[in-house]
Amino acid sequence: MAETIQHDVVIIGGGGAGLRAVIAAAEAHPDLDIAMVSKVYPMRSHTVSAEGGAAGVIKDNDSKENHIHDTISGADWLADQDAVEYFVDEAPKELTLLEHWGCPWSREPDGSVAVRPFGGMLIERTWFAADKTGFHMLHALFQTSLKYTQVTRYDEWFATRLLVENGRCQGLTAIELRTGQVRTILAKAVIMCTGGGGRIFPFTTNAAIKTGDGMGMAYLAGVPLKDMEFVQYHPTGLPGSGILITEAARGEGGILLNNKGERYLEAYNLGTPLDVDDPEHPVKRSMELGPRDRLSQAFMHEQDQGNVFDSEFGTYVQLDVRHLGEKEINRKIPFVRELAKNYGGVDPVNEPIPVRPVVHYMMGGVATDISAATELPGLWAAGETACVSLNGANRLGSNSLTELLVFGARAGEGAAEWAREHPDFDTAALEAQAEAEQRRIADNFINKQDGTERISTIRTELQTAMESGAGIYRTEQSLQATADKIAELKERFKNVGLDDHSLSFNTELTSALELEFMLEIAESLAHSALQRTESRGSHQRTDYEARDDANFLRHSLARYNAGGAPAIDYQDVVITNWPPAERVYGAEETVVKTDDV
Amino acid sequence: MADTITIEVFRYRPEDGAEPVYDTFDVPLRQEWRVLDALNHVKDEVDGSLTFRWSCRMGVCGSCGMMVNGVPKLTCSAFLRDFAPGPIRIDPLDGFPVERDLVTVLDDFMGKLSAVTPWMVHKDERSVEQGEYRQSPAELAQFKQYSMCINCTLCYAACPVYTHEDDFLGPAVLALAQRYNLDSRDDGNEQRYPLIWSDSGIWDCTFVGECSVVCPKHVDPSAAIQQAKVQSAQSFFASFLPFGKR
Amino acid sequence: MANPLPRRHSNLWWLKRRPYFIFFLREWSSLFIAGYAVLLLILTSKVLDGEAAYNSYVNDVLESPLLIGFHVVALLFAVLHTVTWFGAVPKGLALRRGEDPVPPSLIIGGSYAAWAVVTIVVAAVFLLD
Repeated sequence: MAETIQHDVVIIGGGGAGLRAVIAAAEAHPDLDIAMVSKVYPMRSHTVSAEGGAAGVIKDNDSKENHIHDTISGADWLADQDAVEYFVDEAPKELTLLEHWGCPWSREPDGSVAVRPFGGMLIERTWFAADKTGFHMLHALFQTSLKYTQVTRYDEWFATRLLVENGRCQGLTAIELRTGQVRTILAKAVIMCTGGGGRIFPFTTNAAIKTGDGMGMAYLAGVPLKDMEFVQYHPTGLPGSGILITEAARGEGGILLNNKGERYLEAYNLGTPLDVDDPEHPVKRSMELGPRDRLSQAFMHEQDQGNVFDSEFGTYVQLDVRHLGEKEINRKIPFVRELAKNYGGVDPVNEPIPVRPVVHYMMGGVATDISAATELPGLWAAGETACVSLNGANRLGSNSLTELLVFGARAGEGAAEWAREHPDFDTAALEAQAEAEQRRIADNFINKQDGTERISTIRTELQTAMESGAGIYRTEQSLQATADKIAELKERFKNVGLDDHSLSFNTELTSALELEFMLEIAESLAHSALQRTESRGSHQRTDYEARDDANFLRHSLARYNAGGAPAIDYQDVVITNWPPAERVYGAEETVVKTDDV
Repeated sequence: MADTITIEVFRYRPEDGAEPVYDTFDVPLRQEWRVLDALNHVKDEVDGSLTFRWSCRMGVCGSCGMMVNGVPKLTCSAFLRDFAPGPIRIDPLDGFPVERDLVTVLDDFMGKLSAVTPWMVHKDERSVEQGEYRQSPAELAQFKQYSMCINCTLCYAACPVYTHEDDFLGPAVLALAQRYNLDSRDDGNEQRYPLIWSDSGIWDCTFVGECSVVCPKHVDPSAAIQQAKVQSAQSFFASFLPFGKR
Repeated sequence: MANPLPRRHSNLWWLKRRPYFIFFLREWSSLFIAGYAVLLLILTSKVLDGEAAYNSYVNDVLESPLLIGFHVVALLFAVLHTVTWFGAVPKGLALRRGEDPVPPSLIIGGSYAAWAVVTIVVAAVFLLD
């Protein structure tokens, strides 16, 4: 066994949340020894693909009250309102910090930061860097993090499990990819920032690395996964590849058309379309700027009615931005043009872009409290990996980039504080656990010669089962079938065999470990969805069409159960000032607060 | 179009220490497939030991750069159909040590990236309460192009200076330094000059210009370097003037 | 176990791709231009030595087929150097009008125009005597 490495705080995951946590911990206590473990170089993390922007209230025509209400109603009232209030308060500060760190935010002529409208928003409040916001934020965070010499980076180290001893998370094991060695990293505090797991679905905007590793690790360590049944379909992905066409395209005035040339959203209680030349277009919280869950659901209905286009890559509708003109398209959404040309085969200046709903984001994740701490002492989580819960049943577009800053920072500060107060390790016991993990990896994968199942076969069958049974519309039958299939696949996974038995940079091994995590989180998702017998936000049950606040104004908590299906438990949603109401888009809405009731 | 196309893939297995070889695979030639799809097809269906990096598959994470028929490319943006009828030869990026198969060693690049002070330096740090630094759209446009680098290292593979000189900081890193130097919010130029004006910096560049040609994001590192040379030369001559300022 | 393959490079890299070869020619052009400059300096010194020295240098040396050939090659290289140099000017000179960059073609065109003006001025000074 190789030597054991020790640090005060270890962050797993090098994306936006992880880097923000690193900076926060380093700033909070400069004397701490901090490390970051990431399976890819930080600038490869999936934050890089985020396009449209990050929400934060700065303009005089907006208010925190508006942002809070948009977020809560967008979430179909499943968000914890104390978390939302904290988030909205912190958002402008965090985005301003990013500005100080060099993020090239797009500007108004007077030099102040510009904002654009996004879906489900009453007032435009999305900060943006053209349409590569995530890319610029990630690189600004990464480059800023290089300032802190007390930070050690373990790039291309694949974390495999958390080390828990004496009721405390005290480190992790990770495979150093270039040598294939399993290393023991002891940490007084661990922050999980590994992103979501969209790759459990076949058609997703998510990068290949988004396999839910961190959710899986926390879950296997006994931490519950919260609200896993809520999966966001983004309404505009390119057919075939699933590459995202940002909501900013609609924020800037793009419209959606069915195969009859109609702006079909009008038929789904999302408002009345204005002409694209009307100075009032696009109307906020209306039509194309409705929330993502409702837009994706509308597509499914159009499909049922035969109002969509057909292609070898599946059905689609059209996103038309031609009226913006070449100059505006180049200025505001140049990446959309590049992606549509390269991967969609159309130049949006001359032709509408074919789009269809695509798995984009997991609202659920590792259950944390408002300070980003999990119920396991010593473990924090932030970003898409975590569920605070801010996003409830449907995340508001452009809240996720801000979320990873706000809660990444909170986790970094909390973990730094904890590390100072908990200096001791149960070293012998932790090393014994690490040795067991090393043996497990050797026995189950590297040295196993008789496995007959292929990774790609199991992965494809999992993805197919997720789409057919746990997609936009679900039923008890479909979800049960998916859950059964996952149980079968978990059994078959025990018989998986690798072609590659070498140690150096064995990416087939990491694919197998990723698939193991994918199976676990998929199972938690299917069972959470099966037991939520209501429809809310992105979770639509055709056998239970109504929202059921009496029974389900609660978060689901899925706990790992080695013997079988996860145990599903519930936790009340925190309501502070905004009692549950109907979600209204495309019309005037009266905001009710508990003070008024 | 034919049904299949042949790819010849560079294989290096560090553990047997043997010389690299080319393995040949016939892969489906589909209209929408990129070189990356062909490699994934091989890894999933034929040989799980084929090793390469990839992630976003939309040209922004910078992982999947390789030499495709001798030219540095992002394999997620290189369509098989453009190389028909083939064969297509796929090598790891030139100029880097090879970890395994198509995976290069990035230690040198990452070290150089960290060395040029690639972060904001403020003389008078604003507090969060004071709000953002003002920056006009024209000031933003001064450096925006150089902030678009995805660190894919294609420019290093295209640069004969980098492949022959161990010390050269290289195109992307110098463009990054220039990105900060041109940012109206930054006061760190003096800190960056000693390294980027040194022999391993801009003056090592002989202006081949291929870095800018292969750049998938139109960063134009070559332009960044030539502009830095102009600034460096101005400063050099100004230092002889009695009232000259650097 | 890590055992990376050291980075590989070849001394024939300039033959591997066309752009490298053109770069290679551009670099070699400087040798010919330097050679031409040396001949020009010798010619100048011959002028100072008097008419006889000048004539014999021109007749015996410069008009030899070898040096005529050299001058043709040097001229071709000079043209190559000029064209590639002017083509590169926009790289070093990033002019902007507000947010928009000045188009490279304008900068290149301006370079040629400036070159023409300088040539005419020089020609005027020496020829219109």
